Amino acid sequence: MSNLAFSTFNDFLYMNGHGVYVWPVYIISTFIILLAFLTIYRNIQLLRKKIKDARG
Amino acid sequence: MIKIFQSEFFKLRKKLRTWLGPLLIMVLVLIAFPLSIDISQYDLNRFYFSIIVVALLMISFLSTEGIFLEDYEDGSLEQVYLVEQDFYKFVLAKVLTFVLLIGVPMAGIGSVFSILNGISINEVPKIFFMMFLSNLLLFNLFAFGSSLSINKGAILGVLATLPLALPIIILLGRGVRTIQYGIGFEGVMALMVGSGLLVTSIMPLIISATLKTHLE
Amino acid sequence: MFSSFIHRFSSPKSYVEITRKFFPYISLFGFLLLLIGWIWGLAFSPEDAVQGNSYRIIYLHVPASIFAQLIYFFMSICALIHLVWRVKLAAYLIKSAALVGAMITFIALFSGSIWGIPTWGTWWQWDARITSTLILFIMYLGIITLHGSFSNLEKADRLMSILVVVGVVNIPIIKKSVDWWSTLHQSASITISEGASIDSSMLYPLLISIFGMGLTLISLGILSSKFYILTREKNKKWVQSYV
Repeated sequence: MSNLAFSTFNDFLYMNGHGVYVWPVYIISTFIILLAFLTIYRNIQLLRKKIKDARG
Repeated sequence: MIKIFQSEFFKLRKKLRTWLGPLLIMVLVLIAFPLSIDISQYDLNRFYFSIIVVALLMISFLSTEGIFLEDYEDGSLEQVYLVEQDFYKFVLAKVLTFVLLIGVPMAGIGSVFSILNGISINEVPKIFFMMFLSNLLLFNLFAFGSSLSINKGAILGVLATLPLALPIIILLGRGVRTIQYGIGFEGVMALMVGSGLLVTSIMPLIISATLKTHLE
Repeated sequence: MFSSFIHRFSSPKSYVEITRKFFPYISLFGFLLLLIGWIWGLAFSPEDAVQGNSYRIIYLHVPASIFAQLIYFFMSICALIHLVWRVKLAAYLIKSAALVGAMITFIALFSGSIWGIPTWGTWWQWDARITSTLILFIMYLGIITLHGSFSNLEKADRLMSILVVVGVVNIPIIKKSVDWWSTLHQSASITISEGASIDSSMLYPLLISIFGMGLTLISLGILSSKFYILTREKNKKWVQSYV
């Protein structure tokens, strides 16, 4: 693990021309997973508020 | 069982629209395809069987769309359940009736059209048998789909079960290639016969459980 | 005895209370493992001799593909439990897992399509593995749609369970499709019988990513199931006191 595969950060982003495929995949997929977490968490909070309000 | 089958057969035979309609649509689709495409006869022969396979898929779905709906709405299903405590024989008889009145003619129409588009007449029995087995599998599957969405419309049942039909289509396509190349047909046929027997015996049980859920 | 065990530990209330304790640890550990796996794979693993750096999508695509199928397998076990023992919690878990499964299957299809462009020169190929995964995605959508169509939710739970059990036949077809049909897709990198066919410098981050993705999806499933349980049981006393 100790040896970096790229010599500079720009090389890391560029990935010999394959960065344009790799990075969008990771960014969009991470966004989808995080969005799922946030949406469900928010829905739970809304539901809790609704139940509390109904209880009075 | 014979009595149930006879009564279902005569009921379906009287409903001309239910069994003749899909067959006529199949003929129309198979005629429409060559008319809509401007390619040589050689190329047409290569691709035509895909159209027959897709037509089989569509017509199987169309035919079984309301297979249990009328019985559900008029209370016949409840009566069957009260008498038999189980739907197995009823479902088996219904599906086999549909296969006999619609599936077998579909296989015949498909075989005729495959001759018109390049398949040798010696291969027709193999083609017919393969299509018949595919129809048996597809009718069972779409009957299950109809039982799931009994009064919710056909689209729901299709969405739920169409993905399961695609392996059958893949198998049918592979079977056709074995006929065209002349090797491996027996293996594919054995697989289809086995699948057909398995699905025909098990699917009525599953459909029966589904129908019971609707009545509870 | 087994059925009394199932009924004792399968109440939605017990499930929510137990998972509430473990959820922070599972989710944090999952995110951490996923982050380590991805950073290792993206920044430290060497370039592939054939595919260059585009192979690095493997650290997302392979875990997503594995769990796309595993989640359905989990749903089928829950479906059997619901049908045989009429355990409500199992039905709630199926519904929650279907949403997570649909999401991760979409990610598997999307990442695979993008990976296909530099590797095969095409973003889509009608080969067995890709087509089967697309079929699996449609099956998830079908299950979600079927359940949502019925106002009687108990009936919807049973019908959904029946459909899941019938659909599980597709999973071995997906698994074996690479072996049964000749295909463009590369064969499995890791098999149980033969071990891994990739170098350890790529294998270890892949395994870490797989475990990380698994824990992340479990935590997402716990959150999703908690929301669904609270929605279905909102009129019960335990929910009133829980919130």
